[in-house]
Amino acid sequence: MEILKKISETLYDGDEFAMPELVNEAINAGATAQQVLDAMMAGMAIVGDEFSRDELYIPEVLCSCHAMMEGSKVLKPLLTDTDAKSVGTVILGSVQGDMHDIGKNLVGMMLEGRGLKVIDIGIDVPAEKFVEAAIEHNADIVACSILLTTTMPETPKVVKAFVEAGIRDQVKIMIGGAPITQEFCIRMGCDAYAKDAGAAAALALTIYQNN
Amino acid sequence: MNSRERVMTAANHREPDRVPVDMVLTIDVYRDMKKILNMEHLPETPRMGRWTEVQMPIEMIKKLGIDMYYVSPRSGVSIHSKSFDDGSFIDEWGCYWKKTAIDGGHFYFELVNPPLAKATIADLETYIWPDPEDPKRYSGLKEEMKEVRETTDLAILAKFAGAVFELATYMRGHEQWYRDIINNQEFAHALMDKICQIQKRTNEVIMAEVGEYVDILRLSGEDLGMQDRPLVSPKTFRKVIKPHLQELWEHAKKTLHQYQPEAKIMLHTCGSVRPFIPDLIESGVDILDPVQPGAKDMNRFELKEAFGDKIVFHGNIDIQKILPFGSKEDITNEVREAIKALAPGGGFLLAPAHNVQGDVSAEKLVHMVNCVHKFGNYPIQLD
Repeated sequence: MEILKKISETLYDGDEFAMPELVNEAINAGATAQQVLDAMMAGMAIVGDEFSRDELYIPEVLCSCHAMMEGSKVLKPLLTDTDAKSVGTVILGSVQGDMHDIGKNLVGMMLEGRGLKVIDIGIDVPAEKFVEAAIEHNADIVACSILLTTTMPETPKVVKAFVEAGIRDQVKIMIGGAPITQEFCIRMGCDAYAKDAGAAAALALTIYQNN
Repeated sequence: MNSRERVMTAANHREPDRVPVDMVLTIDVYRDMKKILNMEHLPETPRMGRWTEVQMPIEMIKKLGIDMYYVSPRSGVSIHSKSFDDGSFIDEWGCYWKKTAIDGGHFYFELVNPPLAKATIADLETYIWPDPEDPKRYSGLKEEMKEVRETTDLAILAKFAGAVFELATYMRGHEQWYRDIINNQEFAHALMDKICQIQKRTNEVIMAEVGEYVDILRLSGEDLGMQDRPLVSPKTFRKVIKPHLQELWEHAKKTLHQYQPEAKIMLHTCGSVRPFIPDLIESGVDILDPVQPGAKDMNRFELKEAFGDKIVFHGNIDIQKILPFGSKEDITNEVREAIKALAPGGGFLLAPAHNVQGDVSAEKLVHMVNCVHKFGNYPIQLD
């Protein structure tokens, strides 16, 4: 359907204002809610890939994420329980002492855009809160945003909290943020490092597919 | 050659006797520095800015062997201004700076609750903006700068008015603002124009008081880069943001030169900013800070080759990995490499690539300065 292609393109272009009407138009033309959602997710997959290849910039990606949110608002009441089953649950937060949320939010929107359920537990999150949230939501991935060299020491505390709670082997711990490297990730005993939001979403999907 | 001559020679793309060096310390590392230099008599908390950076006393500057005195900006007071018991505060623009604890007993001020998050263009007209004429903004400044000029031979770097693009980010909230510059450009222009006019007048008012004492005017930070790419696309930058920044910078330079024709203009912009450097040069920026070495496309040898005859580099000593986590040997290598790449022909002022945070020991900074004194003598002979 031509309208579905247009929805993918509009998502990519980040036109959050045009999206609700296009979604309605597609539904009225006979598309199912799942087809529309798939079309949006197809656009988001391109955004994520291009962002990972350093071809897109944050402002454009944020607009795409918000276009997705606007379209999803229209779709939500139309999706049945069997539709749009999320492929998994991710607990997402900025570690204690880190008040930065834009990177975290971007990761969250990108994860949702790829079909994952995201429980955003906010900024300045103590290690034990990650554990509590992971247990409460039966999550398999915990994603920590760490933007500062001065908040990097929080990373081992998060890992330790999961070890002490006895559920370290039940979750994968993903980390990311400006000062973080793959080497740091390994040294701290985390499971995965994502260099940006696009990579985080792709990585989370891979983790679920391998589980 | 004294410090001021050294700095200004380098800033004029000529070789001084050695590479100039300076730094800005945040509160924790300042206290550490007091200890290791045996200067316990110095004040525990000299004037502190919103990034927890402190005004380093002249005595410490001299003992450390660095070349620059930073004049930190004073802020005005408005109807929005407020202090809280926990140390958090709201500034004159209405931005809330929350005092936040960091591992190891340190703290920082982080921005929360942006005041214009929901504003429309009409709201910008009714918002109560800071008064650029507020004399609190330059209270005590003349006495301080005059004293530094008359009793030392340090170069004076001053920062007066604030930012435009970055302040718009604070007032609007990062996420909303980045969407505005793509999907709500009319509002974006209106907000930046409003801020720009206030900053221009602020510069005029303060420079009329103290412009004659300025060697380098540090324009307020306009961070345009992230670690792995620019923050905005060059296209969006040129279309939406640059006109406002260029207006402020050109005005600042023109105003400053009325009082001090030899003074230079420095722009602080973090991260991967290489695509914007030609725009900065075109807009009259003389010195680029902090030339963040770990960011993408910021290779120091390539930057010198491409832009070294048109812009001076300030900073460049890595503060993300080497200063906090590296050994003394790593620091020696970093200083040598930076000098080797950027110092030939002048045009390099060495400093940590940002205000130094509490995760860097003062001992390492002393070592950094010693390395500059050892390897930074002209003619540069490093292989």
